[in-house]
Amino acid sequence: MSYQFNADDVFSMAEQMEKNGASFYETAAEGIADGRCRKLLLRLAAMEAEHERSFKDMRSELNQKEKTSNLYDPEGESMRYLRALVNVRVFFEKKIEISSREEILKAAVTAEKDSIVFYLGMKEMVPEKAGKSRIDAIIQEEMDHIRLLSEEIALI
Amino acid sequence: MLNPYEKYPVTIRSVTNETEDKNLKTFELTFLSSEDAGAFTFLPGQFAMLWVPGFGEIPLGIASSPTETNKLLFSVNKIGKVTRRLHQLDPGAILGVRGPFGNGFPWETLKGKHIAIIGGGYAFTTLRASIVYLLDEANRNDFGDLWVLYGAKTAGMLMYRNEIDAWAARDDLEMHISVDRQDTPAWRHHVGLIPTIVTAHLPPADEDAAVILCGPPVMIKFTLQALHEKGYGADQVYLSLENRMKCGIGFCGRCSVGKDCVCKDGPVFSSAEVNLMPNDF
Amino acid sequence: MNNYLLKKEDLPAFLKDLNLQCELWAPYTESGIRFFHPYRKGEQPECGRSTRISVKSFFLPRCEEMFQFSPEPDGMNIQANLPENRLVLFGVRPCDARAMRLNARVFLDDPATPHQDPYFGKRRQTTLLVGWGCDRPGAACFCHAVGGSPFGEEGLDALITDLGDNLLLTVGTPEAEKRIKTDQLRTASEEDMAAAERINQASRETLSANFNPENMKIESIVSGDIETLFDLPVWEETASRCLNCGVCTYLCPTCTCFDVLDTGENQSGYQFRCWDSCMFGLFTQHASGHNPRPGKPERIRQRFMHKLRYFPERNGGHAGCVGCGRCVLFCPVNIDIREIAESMAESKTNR
Repeated sequence: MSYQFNADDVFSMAEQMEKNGASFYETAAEGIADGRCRKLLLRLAAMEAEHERSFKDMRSELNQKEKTSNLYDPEGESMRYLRALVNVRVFFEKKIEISSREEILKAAVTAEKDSIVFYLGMKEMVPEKAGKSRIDAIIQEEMDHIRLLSEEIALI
Repeated sequence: MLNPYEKYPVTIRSVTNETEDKNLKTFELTFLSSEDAGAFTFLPGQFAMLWVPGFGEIPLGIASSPTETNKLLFSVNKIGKVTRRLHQLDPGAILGVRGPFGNGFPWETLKGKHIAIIGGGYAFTTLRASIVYLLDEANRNDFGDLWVLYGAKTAGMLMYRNEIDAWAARDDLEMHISVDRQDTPAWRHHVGLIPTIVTAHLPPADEDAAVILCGPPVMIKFTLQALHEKGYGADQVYLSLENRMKCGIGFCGRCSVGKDCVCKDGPVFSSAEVNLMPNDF
Repeated sequence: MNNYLLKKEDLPAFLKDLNLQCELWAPYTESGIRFFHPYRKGEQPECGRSTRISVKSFFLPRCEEMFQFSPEPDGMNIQANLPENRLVLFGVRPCDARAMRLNARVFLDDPATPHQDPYFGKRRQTTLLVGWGCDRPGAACFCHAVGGSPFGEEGLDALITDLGDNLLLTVGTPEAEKRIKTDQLRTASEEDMAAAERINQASRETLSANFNPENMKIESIVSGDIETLFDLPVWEETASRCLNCGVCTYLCPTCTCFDVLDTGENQSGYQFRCWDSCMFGLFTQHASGHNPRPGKPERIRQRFMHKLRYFPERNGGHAGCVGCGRCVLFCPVNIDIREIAESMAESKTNR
């Protein structure tokens, strides 16, 4: 019985993180008056939803060794623990500056950077044959997100 | 040649329901012979084979501490043939005990260290033994700070209620109690899964820290990750493995994992040692 | 060590003598199966060929009562049932004797535990093993590939080499010196010893011709990476053929896994142990329902990993297999431990 994580665990967490992100941006958009800021927050929410879909796709391509685990879990609690692990990443619960579009984008970039740090840590916990190198694909995606957001900031 | 299959006859002194679903009971046993009682010296983390005559023997972590004289405790979950029969027995029934077996927690190595004890669900038996052992005035000063986290699904599933409440009131240890789900309105302690509580409240690691971790496999997996994030090395964390056993002394081959037998080379292994084991336990 | 010469025509008298001291068992064929039976006066035992079942059952019986228990007014009466008989096993194959020596490492001599198994131990103490060297190795024999030899004395108290008209009797242990009457026997000459060595050499050559010992490479398996060995395709491939019938574990002289069970009612009965097999699905099943080896590939992997990797890792490089060939001959689907060992050894070079 292995206590180690596999790529499927990490993709599952990545999906959950994007879901959390989308939900955060949507909630923030509801409470804001400025039209342009609200549009931006909703666009970020849509991007997070898009990321969740692409992680789902990548996850479906994993092979047997990268997704099966012989960990004894008769009550199927793994998902609860995975969600708890993700939800304790507090960067989405931080009060972010939403007074200007620039502040919102900068906060979004910080969030993406925090998530990369998280994935780098998780990568250490996944052995080679359980899909360690797949985690790189997740990190690459997040770096692409940072690039897009930085380009937006530059245009302001 | 001594016969390690010989049983010390014992009788049940008392039976206590530990959990609200009544599936977990603590049996207090007394040796019928004081000579046997004297011979049975053990350290927390070791186990014994408890024999229910006519039904079989099962390995059980010893829940009492060697510092508790004339007290032998086992907390037993009703799950199979032998335990079902055991749960039917009343005080006065005769059983047999073989042991102590196994390596126990590495008390010599732990001396002088700050110890975090983390347990979940039914896996708190040898941890109770360890806490009572550490809090005993003969031992307390040999060890550093003591931080304990015990979690269960709901308040009704926590074992040793009176004792854990008493420990929470002491100032020579930091006691955290948590439930996965709050179902009693007057709950004063944490609500959350154990890894979450570890992330939020466990002091970060230093080279003088060690962790003893026992619980269901899923909890262990995620708690190991949380400990890793706190900086605890795999050689600073101790686990107690479980496997199906029959002889308990390394002869019948049933509990083997790789070159080790859980009964004679364990049941306590460091997380580093477990990482080197083949993936079939 | 002393070497004596016994005329073959004097063997019946020699055996009769041995039988007078204590129970003598020797190989006879019954119902088509050659195995050890109590000495039969006037019937020549069939030494020199292997027995279907190993001598393991003389040290770890198929079924053995360990304790009897019954209630008493203020407690319980528990009586251990330790073996008492003194036996001589005559005509033991050197591979079987070596296997019993390896089993003793588990039951008596493991430095990791203070415990010893007194049931196995007493039988070991009270049984004299007289071996018969292997001048006609079987087609599936490969003791030479796992650290054994056809005239090896490991685990034997005495060894007989068939020189034709005469038998060379090599007495190896003090116990054998005490129990075997040698005062009437001629000391073996240098020519006799040379003849024995020639027979030994011929046997070793036959073995090497039948199977190249280089193909097993236990050292490679012991030093290989566990994860790589664990993931070899050979486990799934073999599982598709294996029936998990357990014949290999039954016949194998170094398979000693057992179950301990109680039987009885009203607090009265006995506790016994009996052979069990890692090939059976319930062997490792927990009461909770968790099974670390739930399928055939995992169980097959465990058997070969134990014999060829974990046992030698723990026991000074000695493989947990003595090359007796019984599993090769009697597996109903022709699974061959030598082929599996080859796959395991190759994995190291192919990484």
